[in-house]
Amino acid sequence: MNVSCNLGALAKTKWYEYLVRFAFGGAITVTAGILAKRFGPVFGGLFLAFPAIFPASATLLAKHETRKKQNVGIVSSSRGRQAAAVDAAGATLGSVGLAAFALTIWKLLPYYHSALVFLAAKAVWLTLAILTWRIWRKHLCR
Amino acid sequence: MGGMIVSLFASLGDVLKPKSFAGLFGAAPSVALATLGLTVLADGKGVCRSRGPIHGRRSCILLCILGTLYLANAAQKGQPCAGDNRESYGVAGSRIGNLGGIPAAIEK
Repeated sequence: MNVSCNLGALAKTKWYEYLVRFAFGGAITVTAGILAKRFGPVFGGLFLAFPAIFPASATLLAKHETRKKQNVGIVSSSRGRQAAAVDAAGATLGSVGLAAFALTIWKLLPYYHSALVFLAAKAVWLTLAILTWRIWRKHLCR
Repeated sequence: MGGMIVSLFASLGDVLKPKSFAGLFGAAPSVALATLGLTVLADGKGVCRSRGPIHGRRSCILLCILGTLYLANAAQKGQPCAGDNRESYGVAGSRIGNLGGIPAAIEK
């Protein structure tokens, strides 16, 4: 299955759902900062891997899928939960890329310009996440 | 800044298909990017903190695996998902035990 982009999906998300994501992301970032100041950078760093995006997107996805089914008259459906499970499978694979992102910054930041290191780390994250996903699709997802 | 990055990645996840691919962005380093970026801009001491996500990743992977298994299992057994009373007693074809076996229709 090819990867595609549907910009129309943005219109399905309501304004308050965007607001919840924004507030949740901001709150987690502030919490990570406070914990790092209070208990030291290594402990605070644990919270940098907090899945801030996943809970919000999985619940919204389940809601949208359920709503879609209700709109065509199917009241009882497990599709919303199934869609959230697929999203979680993708997030599991993305976590491999997240580790590589952190490792890249950890090893390179002392020696190179920070902007360059962040760009390299993002590239490593994206490449590894996509590669893991492709391997999963090809060999494990039957 | 954290809120903006989280919203951006979440929106990317919204528009991409298939859903398992969009899920990759659920584990995007949004908080790490925001916090490390701000730290480096402020005092250049972010290098120490970047060790953290390598340990935290285990928790993230565990959470996602548990989430996948729980949701797939709940769908298979037809149990309602916690916190969503409108969902009820459907029967699905998801298998648990590995991350495969997702019905193709769900991916679209």
